[in-house]
Amino acid sequence: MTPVSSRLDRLKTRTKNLVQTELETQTSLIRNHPDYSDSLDPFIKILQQTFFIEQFIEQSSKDIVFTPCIQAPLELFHAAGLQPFKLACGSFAVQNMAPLHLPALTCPMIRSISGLLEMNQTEGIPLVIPTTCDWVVKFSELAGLYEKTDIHFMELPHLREEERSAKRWHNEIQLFKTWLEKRTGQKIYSKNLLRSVKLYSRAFELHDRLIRLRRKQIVSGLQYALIMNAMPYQDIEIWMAAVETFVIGLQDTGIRKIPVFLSGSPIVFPNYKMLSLIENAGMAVTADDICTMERTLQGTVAYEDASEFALLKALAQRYHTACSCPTFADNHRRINAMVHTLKQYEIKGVIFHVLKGCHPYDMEASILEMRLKDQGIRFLKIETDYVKEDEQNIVTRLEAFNRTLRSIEQ
Amino acid sequence: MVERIRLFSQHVFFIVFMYGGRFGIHLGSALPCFSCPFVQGCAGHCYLMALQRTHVGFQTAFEVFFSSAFVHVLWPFALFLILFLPLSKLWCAWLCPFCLFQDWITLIRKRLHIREFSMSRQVRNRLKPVKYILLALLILIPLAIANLGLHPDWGLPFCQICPARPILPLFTGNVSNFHIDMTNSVTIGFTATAMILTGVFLAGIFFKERFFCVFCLLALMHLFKKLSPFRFEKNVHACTGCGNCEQMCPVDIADVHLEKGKNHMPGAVDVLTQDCLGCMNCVESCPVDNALVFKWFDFKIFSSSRQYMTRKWSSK
Amino acid sequence: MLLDLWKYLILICVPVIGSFGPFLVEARAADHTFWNKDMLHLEFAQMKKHPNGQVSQTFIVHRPENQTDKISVLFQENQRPEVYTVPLDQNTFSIFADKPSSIRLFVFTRAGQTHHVVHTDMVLFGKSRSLALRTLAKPSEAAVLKTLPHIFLVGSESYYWHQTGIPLTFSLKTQFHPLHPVRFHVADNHQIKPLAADTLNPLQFVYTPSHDKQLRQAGSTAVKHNTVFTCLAHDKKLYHLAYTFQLHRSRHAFENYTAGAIALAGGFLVFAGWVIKKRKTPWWKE
Repeated sequence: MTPVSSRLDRLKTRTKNLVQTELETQTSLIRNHPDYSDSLDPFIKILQQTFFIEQFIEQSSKDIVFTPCIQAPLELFHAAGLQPFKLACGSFAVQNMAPLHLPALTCPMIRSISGLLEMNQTEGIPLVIPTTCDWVVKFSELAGLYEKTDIHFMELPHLREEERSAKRWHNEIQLFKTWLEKRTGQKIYSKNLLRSVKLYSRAFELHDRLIRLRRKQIVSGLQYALIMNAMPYQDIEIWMAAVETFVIGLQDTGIRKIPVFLSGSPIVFPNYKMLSLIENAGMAVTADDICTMERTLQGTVAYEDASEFALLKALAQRYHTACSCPTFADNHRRINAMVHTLKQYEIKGVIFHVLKGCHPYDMEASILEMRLKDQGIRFLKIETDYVKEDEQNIVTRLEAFNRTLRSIEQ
Repeated sequence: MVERIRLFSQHVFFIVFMYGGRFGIHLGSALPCFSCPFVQGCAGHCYLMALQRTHVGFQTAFEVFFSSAFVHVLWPFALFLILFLPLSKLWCAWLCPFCLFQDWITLIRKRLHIREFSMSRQVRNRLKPVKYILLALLILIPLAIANLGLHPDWGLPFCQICPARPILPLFTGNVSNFHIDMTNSVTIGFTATAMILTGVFLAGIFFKERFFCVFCLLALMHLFKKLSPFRFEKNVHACTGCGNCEQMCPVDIADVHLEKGKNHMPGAVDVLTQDCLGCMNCVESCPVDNALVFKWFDFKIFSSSRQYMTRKWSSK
Repeated sequence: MLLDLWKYLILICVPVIGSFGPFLVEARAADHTFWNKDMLHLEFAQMKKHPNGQVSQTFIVHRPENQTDKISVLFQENQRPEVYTVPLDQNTFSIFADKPSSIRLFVFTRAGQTHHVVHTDMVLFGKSRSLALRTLAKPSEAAVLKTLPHIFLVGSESYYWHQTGIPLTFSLKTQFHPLHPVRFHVADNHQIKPLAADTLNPLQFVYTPSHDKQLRQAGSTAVKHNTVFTCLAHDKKLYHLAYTFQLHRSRHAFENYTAGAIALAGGFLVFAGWVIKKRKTPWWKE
């Protein structure tokens, strides 16, 4: 009988090869795309590296900390001198390594993340988990991470507008800071934090410029997804420099498609299925509210003063009250931002992407559909996962949706 | 940008109100801001004093209220309204000298990186009626002096305990209001309360931005807001509920953040509340275009803009 | 013979006594027993704010004994030359003001060879559109004011709020030189006290009203009135001159700055301490 470890090693090697092939296929697809420019190379490079964590760590100048969601403030990681590593994975091939005991209807993202952690040597890499959706809350246990690493849970209050929640979350942010200080053995001073906050504000301004270009269809949905997906794995200053280089080299192709708003479950490299299908159907994703795209950077942090308390309070508010994650109970104002963008940029349709097993977004889709249709906005919900078999079916539906939008425009 | 213009305006009006009288400026006794009459050479008097005085205020016999002499009480009120109407709450954060004094103290605190203390929504809500209670006392005490034989040393009760009375004259080199007047038990009571309150408010202002404004009686001028062409509106359908407005508000107004309109119907809702000082910090920090708007009739004075907000904070 | 002796005695004595006359008057001036019964003096009665905005001050006049002339009441307003007269109703009269008015008031009469003059200054803060009733005095009456001897309060035009504890300087304005050293007295609550003359100017007298417990207990607007008076002789005439004025309690005498500083610091420290204790975060630790 073959020992278990060698069987596992063989599986690992096979999965790594599969992932490599998947990445190469996807990368070449992206590189052959008319929207592609060489200034996107740094983003693709870093995204490819994220699948091979050992190498990633070797090349990284900072210690890394995993975090699956966007509620752990990036500014705090930066102030602590740590590199956040966003646990979001769009690879289908890596699911080979996912533990077999995962429930049948597991969220594909969670399955991929579990596979990714299994495929790489990740023992001892600390993990910060804001308690957002059930999958995120439970996956560390399912993946058996308890024994392997230091996990810090940030208990996310599921009410956004209540003061008691804000206070609790503020407390969580302070505890998170203490945890980071313990990890690094260095105190995070308010001046360091202020520097990070300012830096991320500058990054957000750059991001805002990028968004405006995107709304005008000068930056395509695909380009934007690459840039934003790569953000939480990089030093923010390097990322900003790369984005600036990209923006300088931009050229307006003059092509204008029917603009649509993309919402729903995360879209993560290399799973750009939805983006390319929408494009193939003759539409352009000019806006979204996806947590791996436009919501990666939470926005400018407005703080009252530069004291530690005020900065942490401002961060807490920005990463909680201002966040429109579907796991919040009082998330009904999420639609306002959506409708506001739709009206401001004359976008007539919303495509809602649901990953099979992603319950919060599934529920949110039904709520949004009712309310958007009341306002005369076309809504298309597409439920899919990382497989390619349903592509044709989706394209047909998207084309029909495109025709509807065109008819409204005419 | 707007913050700088506001600071400039505050300083200009501080000089005008505090020293204007020395250059012949007299703006009357019904100013809707803390231009303290106890400052020698001030350019005008806070309306609260007139409200408590004899003849022009409530320290007046009942029979006068039903005679033609009542016009003397109405005149300052009319002047107060005329001054209030065009600017509404801008009087607070753009003109009031005491507001600027508080801002200076806050600036020192911020420079020292000392955190403020937070007042919960519950505390804020509980403190809201204090203004009305003070207003009632401000009217009833002078009435009782004039009609029920209350000791005359109860006169000008609000001025007697107002922290602006000892503090603002400091800027003309006058320290004479920092004492306890041992003349009789009433004066001892009032001056001791005034000194303790001044101490409390100085500490309060240091640790909490615009702490005095929570109790300021002039803030009640919002009761006449409907008469003013000045409006502070929120487009409820645009608001994403990010909470920046509440976070940046010096007096932590939650109403602007929580306002959702009637039955979630889109449209503009008036959000100028009792505590609002018109400082526009909320508009400056609102990341949604046109979600918050300061208007004068239909003319937009200042409206929120994502680009403005992003630029402001990234260039800090 | 004896009768003749008496005649001679009288013939000799009268001029002698006559020549001593002024000294006898002086002896009388030094004595203040004429106060009250023998002297014209004024009492501040009610000050009233009328519904039309006018303000009136009523005075009670205490007539001198053996008054022979009628009592004249004349006043000037805001340092203007016009002289107004006010009719006396029994023993009272009132002056009305429709605007803030600084009033200089003279009340005078004669009792045989004795002239009585009372003078006072006051400010009435009227604020009315209906004009206060004024009767111009006849030119002959008005002319009297120019020569009327009177006591005046130095600097009284610029300051009207006289307080206990603050020195007041009084002086004399006459067309003649008194025949004897002038002495001033003050009547305060029926207590008569002599005033000390200024060392540099014997015609100026300084009076520092003492603090009054009753005034302290009453409000800041409560008043009592004091009268400074003197008696002069000139040209076989006696002049009883008086200056009546209102006194308020001292505004600043009882201010305790140390206590103020302690209360201020106490308020500051207690509140600051409470805030610092209350604002500790995080609220919950692991």
